[in-house]
Amino acid sequence: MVKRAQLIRMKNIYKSFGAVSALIDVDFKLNYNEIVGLVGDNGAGKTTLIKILSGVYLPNKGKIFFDGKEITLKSPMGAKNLGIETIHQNLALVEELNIERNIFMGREPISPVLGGFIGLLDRKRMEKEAQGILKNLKIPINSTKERVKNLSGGQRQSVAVGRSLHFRAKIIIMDEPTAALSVQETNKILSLTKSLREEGLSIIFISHNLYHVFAVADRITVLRHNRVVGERRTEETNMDEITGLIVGKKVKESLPKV
Amino acid sequence: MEGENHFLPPPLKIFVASRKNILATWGDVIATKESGRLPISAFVGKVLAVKESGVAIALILIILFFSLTCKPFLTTFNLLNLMRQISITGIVAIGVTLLMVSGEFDLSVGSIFAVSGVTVALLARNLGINLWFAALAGLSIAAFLGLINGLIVTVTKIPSFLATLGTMMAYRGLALILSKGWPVANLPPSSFYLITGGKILDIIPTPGIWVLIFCFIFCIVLDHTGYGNQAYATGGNEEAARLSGINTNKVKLINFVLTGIAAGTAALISLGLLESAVPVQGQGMELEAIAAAVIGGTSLAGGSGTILGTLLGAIIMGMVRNGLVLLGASAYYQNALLGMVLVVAVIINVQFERRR
Repeated sequence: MVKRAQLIRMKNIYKSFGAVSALIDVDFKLNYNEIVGLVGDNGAGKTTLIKILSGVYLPNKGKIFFDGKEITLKSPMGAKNLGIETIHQNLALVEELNIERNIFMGREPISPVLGGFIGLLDRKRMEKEAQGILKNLKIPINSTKERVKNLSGGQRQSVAVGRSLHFRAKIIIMDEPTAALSVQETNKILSLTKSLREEGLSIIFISHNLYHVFAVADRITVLRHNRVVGERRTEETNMDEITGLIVGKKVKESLPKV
Repeated sequence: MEGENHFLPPPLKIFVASRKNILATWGDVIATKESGRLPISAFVGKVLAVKESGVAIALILIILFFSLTCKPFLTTFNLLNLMRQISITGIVAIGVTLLMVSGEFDLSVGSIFAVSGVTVALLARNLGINLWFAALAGLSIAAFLGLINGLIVTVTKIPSFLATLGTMMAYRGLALILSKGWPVANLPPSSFYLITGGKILDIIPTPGIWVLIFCFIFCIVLDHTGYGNQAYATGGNEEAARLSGINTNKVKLINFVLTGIAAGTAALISLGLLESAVPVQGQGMELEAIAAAVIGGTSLAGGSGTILGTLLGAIIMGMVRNGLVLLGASAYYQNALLGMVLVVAVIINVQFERRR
């Protein structure tokens, strides 16, 4: 059996903003076909880490390997070109614009006019593909011309997920995907996350909610005070241990078992 | 409906197709009316869906008012005159709209208008340069001044309102320095005046044609290009735009340059009409341009607004002034009433937005 390289390997990552350290000597890995839960308290560095992977920040020190090859992620578009799609905490949607325009923001389909001299927005393609995306995810929205500001939290989340899938994501990073969702919407997102793994994607799942993390993740990486303090396979650990790693001391009382 | 589009040239076809939903909504209304049912809420909903509906309704009301109260208003002569009158502010307003959609302001447009006009006139009169080449130089200077605005905003991150407040004063000073404070007249004869500020077929004023061409081009850019989508995104939610891979600084820079070019173009039209340029021209133009954009539905927060709406807003402002003059009202009434029109227009637009 050929040992496949890791999909993502981040080595000795340091990131600081002026005098404030956000990440100190962080190692992080993501395998093919895997869901990794990234957990930690507020300010531990989770969002900074994934923003480096999304091309938003450049690390001060350290290396990143994609499928065994060293890479530099210079911009959000650079990350997307590699197949790293991110669903940010604030969803990165423009409320005033409709669903189609949000999906294709930055990657607008162009149809050449006047012999290729001018490129006009291919609105028909935008509409068709956007409708396809909604249908594939079984999102019950009537029209892709609906403005995002009229959508519920779950619908917006689905649009953001649909957008990532449409552009051939190999890795989807989800930053607090269940934070603003109803119970029903949460279940949909969790089962969607698992089905994405079945389809061959890898997912980095950030959440404060350990129940959700344990429901989907194969492995869990814990950050505390800007460092990695632990990495466990989900089946070999439990919520007490993870909580203990997050807060830094043994948790005496058990959380109610699910 | 589909078949009618085939004989139009492609850009026009696309422009018409995008407004097709207006035709479609009327078709729906007629169809439902024929079947005996006309749910008023569905009709209202369809009207609201058209982005320019607020300003269009206001325009219709104003036309009705003036055509009923003074006879010379609705004549061809008067309306063509009107197109000439609004062309200068209209062109600047159109440029400013694109910038406001991407979330920035330019208060220096009036001063760029002055520097451009004065530069072209001086090059033609003092250096004997062909007016057409001088015009090219004037547009280049306008684009350059816009570029400076853009660089100040994107590099230093000062709010554009403040940055262009400063450049407004600096550029005005530049216009005065270049012209030594004097009007620049006695320019050599040229075909330039006819093409920018003359009449076609003895009736249609060319400035009116220029503002329509400008409107058409900018409409295509904002509504029908990937760049236009990126401009809307940059103004609507800059962080989201950046996370989606849009180079928001580049978008803003380009829009500042385009606004400068709009001011420069307006200066050429003014030069064509008056055959002269004065360094104090264009004072207050920035507020007129913003007012036209706001009446037309452009949001001050960025992320929404249409070029067509701005043109209608400019027409409304021109009509109110024009109508009041025809009614013999004192000039003092003009600004008072225009101010009221602006406030009412904003209220209407906000109400329509809420229900959309």
